[in-house]
Amino acid sequence: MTEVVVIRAALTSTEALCVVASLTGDVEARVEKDVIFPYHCFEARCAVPTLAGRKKLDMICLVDAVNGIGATADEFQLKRERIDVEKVLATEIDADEALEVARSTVTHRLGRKLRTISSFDVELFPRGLVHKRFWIVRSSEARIMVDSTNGSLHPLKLRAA
Amino acid sequence: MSTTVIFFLVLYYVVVLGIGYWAMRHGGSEDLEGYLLGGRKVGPMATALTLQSTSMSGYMFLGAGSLGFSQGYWALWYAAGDIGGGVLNLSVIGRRMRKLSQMFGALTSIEYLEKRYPSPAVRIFAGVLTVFLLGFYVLAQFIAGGKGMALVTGMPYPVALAIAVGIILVYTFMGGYLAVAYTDFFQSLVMLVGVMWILIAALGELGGLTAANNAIREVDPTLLSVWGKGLGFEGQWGIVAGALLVFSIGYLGWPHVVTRHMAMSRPATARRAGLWATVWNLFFVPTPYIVGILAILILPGLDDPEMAIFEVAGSLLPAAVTGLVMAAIMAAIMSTADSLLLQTGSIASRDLYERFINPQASERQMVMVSRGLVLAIAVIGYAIALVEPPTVFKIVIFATSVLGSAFLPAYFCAVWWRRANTPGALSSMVIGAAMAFTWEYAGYVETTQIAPMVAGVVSSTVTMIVVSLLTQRIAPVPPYIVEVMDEAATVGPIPKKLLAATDMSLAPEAAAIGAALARDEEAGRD
Repeated sequence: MTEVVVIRAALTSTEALCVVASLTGDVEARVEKDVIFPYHCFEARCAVPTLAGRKKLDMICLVDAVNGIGATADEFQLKRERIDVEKVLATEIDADEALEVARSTVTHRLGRKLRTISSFDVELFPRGLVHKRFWIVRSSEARIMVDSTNGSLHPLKLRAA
Repeated sequence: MSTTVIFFLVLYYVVVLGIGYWAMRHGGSEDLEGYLLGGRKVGPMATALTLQSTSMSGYMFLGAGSLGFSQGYWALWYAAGDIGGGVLNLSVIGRRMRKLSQMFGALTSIEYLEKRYPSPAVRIFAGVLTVFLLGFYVLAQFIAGGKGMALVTGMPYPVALAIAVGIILVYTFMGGYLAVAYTDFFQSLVMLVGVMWILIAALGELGGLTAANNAIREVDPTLLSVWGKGLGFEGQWGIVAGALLVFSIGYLGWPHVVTRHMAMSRPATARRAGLWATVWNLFFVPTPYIVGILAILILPGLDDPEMAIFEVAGSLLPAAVTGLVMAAIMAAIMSTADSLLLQTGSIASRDLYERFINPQASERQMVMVSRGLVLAIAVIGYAIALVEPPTVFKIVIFATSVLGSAFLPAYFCAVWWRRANTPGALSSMVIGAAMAFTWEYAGYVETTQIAPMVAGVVSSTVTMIVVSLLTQRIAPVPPYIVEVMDEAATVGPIPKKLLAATDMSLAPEAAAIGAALARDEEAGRD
């Protein structure tokens, strides 16, 4: 067992099962297991130009610690949990690499969404490793992972067309 | 134009600025955050309208009207391709490209190409070609803005052009001030209503479409045919195919258009947005062409066909409405120009400068590079637009043909053909661009009656297939790319509802978890 920081779940395993069953219509679907996925978490403090002056804006940026891919995220609550070590995926990206990915992700998103060529004041504060629980649901037709924080889902190991 | 027109034009901008200001004051940073984090408060309709309005550039108001005025109903070949282009894009490469780009961790379309076809040469060639051709496309927006501004204000063209270029630059450097989805949405609605209003006024003036067609028959019956004025394109299927394809499949090769596929969230959302985009296209796209055709009767002595829509609006609509419509048109031109400049600057700084010249570049240095390039484009563009302005129509068709010819097979095969390799993609881009360019400037269109787009796409596609097959042994597609493509491929037995609900941003996690579970199962630990 190991103690990790986990993003507080919004969906229980039963609710995850209901999400999948409602889409597949498969009453035989079952929750197979849960997997704990690691992310490097950064708090980004930015100042962006608006009509009402420069606005301060805080964003959360999560960098997938296995693939090194960044994304901005909503605020979330954390809690400590003791978890079977085999459920936790190993990190392959260190904090320094993740910081660069986070900086690039945040500035790219600001530039693209604000449609402007300007330099944003972005300060990044590392918040350490956080983990997200994914429920793995097996139905007769597919194996699906469900994000325990918001119910988003994705089929696993898709077969090539 | 009267002072009333200018007054309403100014009023329009005050309202747009007011919406932006109100949203920022009252919505505060929560609204801004929602906008930055994916615009979750903006539904599929607003998303679709925003995207369509930013992609419908000055071409629609100058080029499309000019083509209708000069060639009659032949112009609708272009409209037909354009209407279906968006949906074709989404269905052919949209979903898979979204997933692949997410799994590769690519932020820009050029970075995506390099990750799929690993070679610095791919990024250099694609980046330089894109910067060059998007620069041309921006030139079309400058000319459109300058002509519109000259007509509205009565200022001489050089002064009006300088003001239009200046406004576009300010808009680009400080666009964040207006970056509220509501302003985009409002502008797209005004654009749609404005252009429909011009059409209805024109039809009212001429006694309806049947009466107008009868009158056009009196002027020149060949304008009613699908072969153009004087049946100039009769039987020239190579030209017809080019007109139909340039905006339908041509979009598939536009880096700034395919970037949108990388930003899609769920297939279901994209599908709903696609539906709204098609509805918007059905009403909006053919309208400028038809107004151009009707202008043959309303403004028979028009000197500059590119001014057909502006002039019809000015001669038929009340001054207040003309002001609003003009403002909407100018807004469309500016928002397209600023998107293009932003994309060009981003490719120059991220894909070329940071990648090859200064890998340690700070964000400020990259902003300087972007701004420098944008300024250079503005100065060169102003000089070209002033000295010998080509028509907006010619510039847009040229840029679309070359970009589509260069990139279409590369983007298409990136998601659909696992054997498409780096030598195949690179040679396809070079041959496609060179062929379309040469076809245009060597005058092969007249002798062969085949459009540059058709010649370019055929040659780049053949090159991609032949070179990829011939070089499989010396340059096989790396196994990790094949694996990612397999992961992104459609699965047969998964229910459609499940696929539609799939959140593609989870693709990298899904790949890692899937691989970990497979390893566990192999090790018999499950």
